[in-house]
Amino acid sequence: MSDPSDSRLGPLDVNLRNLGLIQKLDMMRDAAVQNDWTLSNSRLPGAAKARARLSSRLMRRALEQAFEPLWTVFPHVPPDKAVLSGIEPYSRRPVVIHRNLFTRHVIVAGMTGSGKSTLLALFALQLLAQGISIIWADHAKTEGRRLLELVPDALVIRADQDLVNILDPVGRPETFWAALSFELAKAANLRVETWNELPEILARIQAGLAPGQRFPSLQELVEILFTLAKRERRPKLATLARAIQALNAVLGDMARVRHAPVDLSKRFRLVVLEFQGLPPRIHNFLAAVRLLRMQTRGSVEGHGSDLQSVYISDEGTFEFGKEMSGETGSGYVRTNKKLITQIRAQGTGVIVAVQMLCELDDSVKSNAATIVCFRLPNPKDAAEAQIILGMND
Amino acid sequence: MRKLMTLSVGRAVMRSDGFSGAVEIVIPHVPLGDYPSDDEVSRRMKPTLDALRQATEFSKVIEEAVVPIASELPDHRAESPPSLPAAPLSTAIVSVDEQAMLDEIRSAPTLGTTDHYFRLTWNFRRGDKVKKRLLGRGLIRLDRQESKNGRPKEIMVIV
Repeated sequence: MSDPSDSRLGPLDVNLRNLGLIQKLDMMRDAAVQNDWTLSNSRLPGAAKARARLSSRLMRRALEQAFEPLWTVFPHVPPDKAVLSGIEPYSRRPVVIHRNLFTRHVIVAGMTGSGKSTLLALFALQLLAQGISIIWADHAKTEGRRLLELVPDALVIRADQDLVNILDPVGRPETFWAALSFELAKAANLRVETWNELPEILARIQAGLAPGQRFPSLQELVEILFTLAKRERRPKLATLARAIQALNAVLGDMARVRHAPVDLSKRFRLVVLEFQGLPPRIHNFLAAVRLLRMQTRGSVEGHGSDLQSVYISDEGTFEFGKEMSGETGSGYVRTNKKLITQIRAQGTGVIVAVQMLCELDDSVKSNAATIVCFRLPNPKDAAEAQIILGMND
Repeated sequence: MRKLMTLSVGRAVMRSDGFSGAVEIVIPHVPLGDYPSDDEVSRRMKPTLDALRQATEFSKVIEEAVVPIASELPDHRAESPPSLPAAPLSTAIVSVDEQAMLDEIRSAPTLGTTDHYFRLTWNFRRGDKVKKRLLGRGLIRLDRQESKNGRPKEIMVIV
């Protein structure tokens, strides 16, 4: 706080004045505590004693409330790595956080229209200016596309237009396919004994590929599965094929992608993926597959602890809500849970914006270094936010 | 708690690692502008998406045969169900049990009904059920022959 090079904290004399006030306040608090002790040991009648104790506590409370704004001390952040969150209304100090704190995730909670998306845009614009790439997943609204005016080279696409062959493995194929099959099972309500067949089939397909030959598309996989189901008398493969066929019907051209030469998130600084309008199961599946690819790619390429990219999940209950992150009893942990706990090492941060804090999965709350709460009219959300923020009642 | 429930628009309470406590903040204005329509976004993204699609390898389109269904179906409640022509006996589909019974009769045409059941290791209930089905389809008929014990012997004959 006394660092004179820190321009955020204002001139040195202001800092010293604040410091003096805090010291004075501490002395007064000590006096109040001493007073309490004296009262409890005095020989005054009970009513007078209680009245005196109450007035002592009220005085302490009033002092705490009066000086509370001055208490918050922020760590020093180098200006080139500072990301502005807002302005403190009492002191007009800018409140900034170190951009690397984003790798330890951010929660933004608040009712609709309270300013969540504006804050997300503020974060996104500053991070883009610092060379951090952004993927903005718009789950319920179309806020991300508003950035087109300010970031003209941004890419805005529907999630089902993403040009990627989701079967094409990233990292270790067996691990990737197992996680992919699990997400498919969640989307298509498949039983464990059915979806467990898919990684084996995909491994066989890969073993049969000629050098330079591309992995088959989702549409081709359906044909392969139907053929194998008949030839090898494995009816579960036909069930799998029908599940993927239903998925393909929604995906359209994406189901025909064999190979996409570019990774959109590397080519574009800002990619806005719009999920609204998709059937919920497909929505969750596509979001999970994207997170899975992002997480696996990060672990393959390796990173330091410096922030490289940020994933913004607007209306993130779809991805990180309690219902969506539930276990299935199959021993697998869902991709979004793994992402929150593991992606930090890969230089990727996650910002989750939600309307209801209570709906957010505990794994996100446990791993968020920063929490910003806008208006929370639901008492349950407000009570939880109060505890997380460490606010006095 | 009340403070969090009554914050005005653009105001929030935040806390981050390294902060000594929660702090109220005002979010600065960001000139985001209006929401572009779907058409406008499509128009702006078209050149980029076209270029991306050209660089992408697709599998060939598999035409799914769509069987059209007439939206105006005839009202079957008013009409009597259409009578289907009876299938010729030679093409009638027989079950595995029925086929086994027919083969058994062919192999030993002089045996009585119960003897056939015995050879097939069937109980009477199963054998009678198959026999009645074959009779109903007109694939066999029953003949009665006199026996030594006075009770006529029932023989199944393939028609």
